[in-house]
Amino acid sequence: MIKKRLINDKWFLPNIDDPQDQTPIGSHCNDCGRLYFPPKRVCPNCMHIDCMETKELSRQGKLVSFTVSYVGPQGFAPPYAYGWVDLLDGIRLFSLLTDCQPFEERLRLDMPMEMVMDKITEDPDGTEVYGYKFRPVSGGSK
Amino acid sequence: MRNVVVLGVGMTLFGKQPERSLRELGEEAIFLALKDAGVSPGNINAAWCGNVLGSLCGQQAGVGQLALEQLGITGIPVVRVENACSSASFAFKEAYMAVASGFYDTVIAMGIEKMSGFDTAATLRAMAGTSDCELEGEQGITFPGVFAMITRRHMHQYGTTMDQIARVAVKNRGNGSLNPKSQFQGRVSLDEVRQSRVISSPLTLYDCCPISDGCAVAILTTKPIAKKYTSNPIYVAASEQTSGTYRDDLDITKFEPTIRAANKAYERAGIGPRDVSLAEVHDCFTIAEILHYEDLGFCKKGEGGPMVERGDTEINGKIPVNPSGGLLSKGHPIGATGVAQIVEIVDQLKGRSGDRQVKNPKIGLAHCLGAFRHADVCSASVTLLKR
Repeated sequence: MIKKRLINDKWFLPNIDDPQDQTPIGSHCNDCGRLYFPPKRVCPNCMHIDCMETKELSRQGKLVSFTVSYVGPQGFAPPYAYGWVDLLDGIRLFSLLTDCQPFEERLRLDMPMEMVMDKITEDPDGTEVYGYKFRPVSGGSK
Repeated sequence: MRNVVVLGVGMTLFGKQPERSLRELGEEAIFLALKDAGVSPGNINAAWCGNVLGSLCGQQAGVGQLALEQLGITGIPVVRVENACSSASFAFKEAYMAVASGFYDTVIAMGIEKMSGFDTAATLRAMAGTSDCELEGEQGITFPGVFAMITRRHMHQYGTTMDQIARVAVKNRGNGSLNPKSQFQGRVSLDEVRQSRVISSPLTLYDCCPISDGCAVAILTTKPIAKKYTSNPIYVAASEQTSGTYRDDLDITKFEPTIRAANKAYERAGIGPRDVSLAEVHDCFTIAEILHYEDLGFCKKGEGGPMVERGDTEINGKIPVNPSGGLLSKGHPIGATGVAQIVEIVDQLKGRSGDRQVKNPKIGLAHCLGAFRHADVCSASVTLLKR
C-alpha cells in the first residue's frame, strides 16, 4: 500500500483519513483581527496567546506572479509551474500550479485562482506528500 | 566610534576549482591580504569568516580557523558567520564594529566557499535551504524561480523588457572579461543571453549567476595604525544591515530591506545616492541588478530597465555598477561574495583595477542580499567606502 502524508500537519485541520480532503488553516487573532499563515501560537502584534483561534484559509485568490521551472530539486520533475497567490483573506501563499497547461498560454498575472488538494512530491522512500495547489478558476484544460 | 580603515584586501580566482580545498583557497587570499596590508599574522586580533555550505553540506565546520592556521594566525577568536549569500557582508560588519568600538585594533573579515564537486541535485537542495524550507523549499521552490517571478511582475508593472534585462548580463560579462579573477572571461551578446537555455521562465542560463569556489579577505584597522602603513587609506563610511519583514502585502518588484539598509547607510555617511562613484551589487540574477538600481536610489522606481539600456551603469557611465563583473560573471561563492565586493571597491578606490578602472572614484558602495522567505529577503547589507 502506498504511504501518504501531509506536507505539514500543522497547516490543516486534523483529519487523518484522507490527505486529499484537507482544510488549510491559519491563526486569527481575536483582539487585533490579524490572520497568520502558517498558524502561530502567539500574535506578534498583541503578544497575546489566548486570543488566537484556528480559521480556515480562503481557497480563492489571484496570481501575483508565476514561473515554469526547467530545473528542480529531487522529487520535482521539470517542467513544473509555481507562483505566489494572494488569497481573498490577505494571506499570500507560495504554491505549485496545476491544471494550467500549456503554462505560458494559460497563466496570466492577476488572474483568479482556486485551491485544490493534490500530491506535491514523493519522499525518497516513495511516501506521497500532499498539500495545496492552485489552478485557474475557469477549471482545468485536461 | 573610531574611524576604521580597510588596510588590505586579497582574493583568489573565482570559479570552479574542485581540486582545491577550503583551506588552500583561504591560505591564498589571506596571504594576499596580509601582503597588501603590510601587516604580519601576529598583528591580527580576531577574525570573522563567512561560510555557508561548510556545515549545510557537511563539508567542514570551523573553516575560518583552518584557513587562518595555514598562515599561523592562531590563538585568537575566530567566528563563523552564516547569513546565506550575504554571510561575508555580515562578517565584514562584525569586524568593522569590533574595530570601531575599540574592542580590537586589527582584524580580518573574510568569506570562503566551495560549491563545485557536488551533484547538481545536492547543490539545489542545499540552495533551497536558503529559502524557508518548511514554507517553500519542500514545495519545490528554486532561486532562479523566485527571481523569474519577480521578473514577470516587474515587466508587468513597469514595461521592463527581456532585452533590457539581458543587457545586465551583457554588461557584466563584458566587465568580467576585463577582470583576471572573474569566473567567466568571455563577452556574450544580447542574442546569446536571450537564446540560452531557459532555466525558469522567462530567465535563461545567462540570466543566472554560476556555482563558484573562492575566498576573499579584508584587513581592517584603526586610522592611527593605518597611517603607519599607507598614505592613501580607504575608510569605512558606513556599513548597515537589516532583515526582511516577510509581510503578505509586499510589492515583489522591490526589496524593502535594500531600501532600509541603503537609507541608513547614506544617512550615517552623510551622503546621497548621487555621491556614489561606483557600486558592486548583488546581481545573483539579471533582474536583481535592475531592482537594486531602483532600491539604492540610482534611478526612480520602474526605470531600472531603461537605465541599463542607456549604458548609465557601464564602467564609463554615470554610475558604474559591478565593474568586477558582479556575481553573474565574476562568480558567486556564496559565503565569500560580500567581502569580494569590498575587494573590488578598495581596488577601484586605490586606482589599481587595470582595464576596468572607473575614472577617479571617491565613494564606492557594496550591496549584498542573503536568503529568501515569503517574497522577501532575509538579510540585506549596504557598505560605503571612501578615499
